Amino acid sequence: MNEEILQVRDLLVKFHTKYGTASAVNHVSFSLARGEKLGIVGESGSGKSVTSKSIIRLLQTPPAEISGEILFHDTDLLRLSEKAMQHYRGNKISMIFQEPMVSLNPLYTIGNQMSEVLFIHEKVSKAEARERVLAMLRTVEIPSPEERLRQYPFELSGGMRQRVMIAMSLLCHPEILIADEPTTALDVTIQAQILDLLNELNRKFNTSIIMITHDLGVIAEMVDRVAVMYAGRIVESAPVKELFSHPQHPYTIGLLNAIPKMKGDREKLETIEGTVPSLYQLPEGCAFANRCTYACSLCRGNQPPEIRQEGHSVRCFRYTDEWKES
Amino acid sequence: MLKYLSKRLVQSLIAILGITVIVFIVLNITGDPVTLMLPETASFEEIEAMRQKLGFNDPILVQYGRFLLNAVRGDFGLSYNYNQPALDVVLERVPATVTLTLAALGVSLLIGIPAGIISAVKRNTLTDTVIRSLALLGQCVPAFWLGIMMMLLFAVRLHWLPTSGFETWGSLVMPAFTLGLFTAATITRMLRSNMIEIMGREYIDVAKAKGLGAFVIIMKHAFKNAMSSIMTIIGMQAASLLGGAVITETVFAWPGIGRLLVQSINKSDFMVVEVIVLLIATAFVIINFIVDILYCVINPRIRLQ
Repeated sequence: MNEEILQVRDLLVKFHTKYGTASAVNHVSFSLARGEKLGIVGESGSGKSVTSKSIIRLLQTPPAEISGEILFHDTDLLRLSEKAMQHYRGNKISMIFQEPMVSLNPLYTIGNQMSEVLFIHEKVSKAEARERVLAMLRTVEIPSPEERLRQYPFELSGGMRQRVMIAMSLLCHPEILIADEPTTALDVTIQAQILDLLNELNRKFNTSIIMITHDLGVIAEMVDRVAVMYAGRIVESAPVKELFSHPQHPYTIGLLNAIPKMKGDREKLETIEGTVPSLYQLPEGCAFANRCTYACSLCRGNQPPEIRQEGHSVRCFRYTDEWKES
Repeated sequence: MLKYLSKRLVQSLIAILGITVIVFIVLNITGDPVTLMLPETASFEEIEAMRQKLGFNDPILVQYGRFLLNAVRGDFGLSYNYNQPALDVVLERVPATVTLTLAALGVSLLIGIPAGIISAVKRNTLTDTVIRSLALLGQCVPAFWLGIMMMLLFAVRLHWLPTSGFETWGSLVMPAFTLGLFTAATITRMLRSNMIEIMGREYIDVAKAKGLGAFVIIMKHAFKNAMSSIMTIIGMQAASLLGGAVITETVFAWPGIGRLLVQSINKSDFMVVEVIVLLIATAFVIINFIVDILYCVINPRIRLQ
């Protein structure tokens, strides 16, 4: 589990729009080991989706401008030509999306859309493609798979379509599966089934998973390690149990407090006061400072450094020596 | 699918029946052909006798029934101008118009589809701006003016193409472009906006994430979807090319039904006008029916439900 297959270093994504330049991802670095399940959690606009789309290079450039390094083994994906990148997409690195209802092309059968992946990456025969698609549909526990091959997306339920999407993404046995909020659009019961399925596939194929979500429940159930994103930065990163038991960043603490509890009296729901700063005008200092109860002049003027301690890292002045001194 | 198509077929037949009613009523309003058939010196008694003989004094419903019955038999009466059955006069000219319309449709699709796709894929670049400006121009320029300008340039100045008539296939070029350019511009604009909308759909991201190349994504995943939504417009355009042929045929002295229609209106040759109007209207209905069938072929949702 120690071999690192993906290293993101100093990733910077900007969007040049007519309203100005939005800094969606700011100096994000993380790594992913083989078979590891990494969760990236954050609210809308925190840059989690943009980060994941940068890895597989789905962002239109322009308006997006991407810099930094995304090392897959020893290859920097950001330096590859579009043609060379196509070889990685769907083959070595796959992605599934939030809305299974609109992720499949309405005009083609499930069989057609799935076998397409095998035709481009592995030059297989029609018969072989069919066999492998069927086998993968069975793996994701889709009932009567032969029938599904001939069906169109509109004939399947949302949960079924997400299973098809997962099956499709795993056809070429990718090393990394990026799951961008794969359960957000689904019913709670279906949600649990899909998470179980992803866990099982992770065990079976040893596929590393990057799980993008805003749902801490999903994180608790699924992942090994969590990165918390806020305003385009990873503010805290730790093994999942450690993060839930010893959150350090005030934002993470706020997020965990905001989970409704069933114990005790039902009181007003906890929230984090204030709003996320605009990505067009990020403050010079810590982006969370204007909502943080601990914030002082140090936080407003400077970017907090990253403090690492045994696999737990946090970007906050509270854990620096300067803070302890003052 | 059969249920859907048979429903549409019945609707089409009702539409055609409706057209016959309108044509019949309009003809009755526009005047009495008897006065045109007889010399100006004819007496009131002679006119009355002729009306009685031709059945114009019967109740209107009886007249309509007779008209319908005759129409089904292909009998639309005699053309006063040509002294031949009106249907024969018209049918003789149908091939020329069909040739022109198909050529114009070909021109509009061959220009409109690639231009629309390129414009969408390269949106907000110079290429896109040029295509959009040309498309706007194509929609604004009136056909008769464009026809005359082309004639001046290619026939009078350069002597590349014959001015008018339909003797060689070369004669087809200018009329086909004159008629087809407006439609080409319409298709370009519709396809561009549809393609842009489709390219923003999530299944296009999925197709890209699968590792497909740009060409397959654009043609297989985006274009076919865009096409299924602009097919109605192409159908309507194809049908209106028939109507547009009236002007183009007149400008280029094209021996088709459009020019015949204008001549017949000028000479009050009602029977011929009636046949042409019915024919064009029926063609409209038939083309729409064909579009419905194509919808079924392309869109599984309609086909299977």
